Amino acid sequence: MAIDPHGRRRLLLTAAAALAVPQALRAAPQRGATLAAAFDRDGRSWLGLLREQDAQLRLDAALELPTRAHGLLPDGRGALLAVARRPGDWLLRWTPSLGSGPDALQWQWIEADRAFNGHALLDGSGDRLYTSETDLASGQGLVGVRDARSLVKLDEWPTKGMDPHALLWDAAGRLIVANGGVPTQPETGRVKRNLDRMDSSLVRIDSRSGRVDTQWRLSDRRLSLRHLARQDGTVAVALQAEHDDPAERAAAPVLALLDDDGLRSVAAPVALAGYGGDICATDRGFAISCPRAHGVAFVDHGGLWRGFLPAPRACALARNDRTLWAGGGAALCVGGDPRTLEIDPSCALDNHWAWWR
Amino acid sequence: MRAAALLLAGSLLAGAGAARAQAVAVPFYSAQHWVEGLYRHGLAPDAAAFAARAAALPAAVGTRCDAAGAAAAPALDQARAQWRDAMLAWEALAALPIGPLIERRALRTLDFTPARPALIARAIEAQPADAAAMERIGAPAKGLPALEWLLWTSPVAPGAPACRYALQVAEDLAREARALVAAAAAEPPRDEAQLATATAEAVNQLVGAVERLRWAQIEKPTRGGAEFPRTASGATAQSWQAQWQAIRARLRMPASAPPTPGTGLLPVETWLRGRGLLAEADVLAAAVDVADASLRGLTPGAGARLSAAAQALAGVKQVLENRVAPALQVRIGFSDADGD
Repeated sequence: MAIDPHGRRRLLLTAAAALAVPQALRAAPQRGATLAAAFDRDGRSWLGLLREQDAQLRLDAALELPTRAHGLLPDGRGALLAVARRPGDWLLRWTPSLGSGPDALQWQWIEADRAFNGHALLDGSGDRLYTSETDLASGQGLVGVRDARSLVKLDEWPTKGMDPHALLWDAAGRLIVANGGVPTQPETGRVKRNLDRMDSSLVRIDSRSGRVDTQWRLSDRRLSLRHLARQDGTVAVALQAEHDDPAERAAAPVLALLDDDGLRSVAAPVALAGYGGDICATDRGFAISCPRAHGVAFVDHGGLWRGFLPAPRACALARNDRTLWAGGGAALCVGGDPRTLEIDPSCALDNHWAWWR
Repeated sequence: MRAAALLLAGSLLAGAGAARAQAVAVPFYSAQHWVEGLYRHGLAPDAAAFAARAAALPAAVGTRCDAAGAAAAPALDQARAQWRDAMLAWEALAALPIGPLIERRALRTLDFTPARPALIARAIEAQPADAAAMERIGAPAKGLPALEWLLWTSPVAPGAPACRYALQVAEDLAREARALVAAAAAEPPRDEAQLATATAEAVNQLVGAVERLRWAQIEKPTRGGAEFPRTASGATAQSWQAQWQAIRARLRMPASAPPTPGTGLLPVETWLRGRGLLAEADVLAAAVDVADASLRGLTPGAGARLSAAAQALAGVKQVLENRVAPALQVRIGFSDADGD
């Protein structure tokens, strides 16, 4: 993709100003950054590390996957956890420093009557891993509670909804789960069926008892709550619109906020094509990637609009300290040392990536 | 007018063996012709074939249960042979799950894998004696995999409670097969909205069918994530072939003359040629032929050939997703474009 480097830099500087990144960080550029990403190459699914080098993110390590990955989670001990895209059947721990042979890989297969829904979350100690899953017999959502080392399932907690997707800890250490609410059936894979039955919600689960203690819904039942970020006491949710009417879908909000006032959707001053692909907390609020609107939207903690950074196909978001990385047609680094990097042209990035080092 | 039009689809078609140049007159087919072909000339006869073989299962299992002395071993062989016939007919039917197979959740009801021995043991203790009692038994303890377990892994002894349970499983299979025949006899979707939904569903399910064979049935077992299908009965290779032949028949244009619209099963390649989408048809034909060659004679012990077959199937999936579906203006739920 051709990018005018001067125009792009102006945009990035504007976005950095909008983020109110402290001067000290701007003066301390972080070169040689590495991100863990899932991507398509030659029609096949891969997991890899993309390292900054000569204004490019170049492939530094790669592992071919049997099916597409979705959520990625560095375990803080040199390994990357990756979860198969929904409806998925594998969970993988990959230690890139060990290569891509058997010693570097730890696969965990899900039981016959369950499917992974693409995301996982570690607890603070790193001992427990929580995965969003579906009971294929009933269609009901579950949180799989796993030993983080063995990846073996220890328990299951119902999410009181279907299609659970991202998970997040709230400020008090309770688990927040986004029930995407889109009905599907194992026989038809990812195909959305009977959207009139859609029922998306956000639930809060007591992490000691595993019980849902509070559940929130938006009034628009065709907005799917999917990806989560938190800043202090505010949880932000990236939305995926599922309205039948294309115009309604295109104009739908891409953000909801949960705070002391409850859960509410947040309208934007411009149409964002009804799809927030990923979300990330920033210093001053939240960034929501909008791959169908080709850019990243910024809001403050209260949902007040702060601007839109054009970025072709931008979806994957990651944060390191006060720097935001947005990946799509290229990689945009917003914050500390704003710049645009080309991504290895053989790699078509998937929805999510994670800061590696 | 359009339906009556003939389009001369002159292109290089890869034949069953060597490539040959062919000028084929292919009629224009509508989405309705394609969907009707799948339902009337695919689903309905395949459901009937499965029902016929499933209907013979109870008698075969019953003979084993009643057998005494020297008759017991041949009776078990006969029950196993009947199971194999029913299983292969099922693979052909279930390779492309559409319409009633989805609505009735037949893949789960009849083919939950792997069977769960502990649940089978519990079901045997419960001694279900009729259809109502069998409804209370969960899918992991009945259906074809459970019966395979009862005939091979832990072969039922004549007169034993397990044999009586195996008979109930066989009768349950025959009942569901009859219900599928009845459901498959219903009118295929006709009005515009239903037709659009059915077309999208069938294209998506074709992608899913290829992916299921590639990943769940061939590649995942090689990575230790599952057993090869039908391992206990030693029928893995036949199972793969039955599925692939059913998929192939729905994708690849045969050497015989294309059907008059509305009179037969319409492979996707033929449909594409009838619409003048020759480049897409050629790419699809080539990918299917590569997969066909790689799957021929494939067995679970084939080593590196397994990975080549999986790659060839991935190639078919990519063509369906990236070339065929866009050309037919069908949104693919298995692909990138549906969000997440």
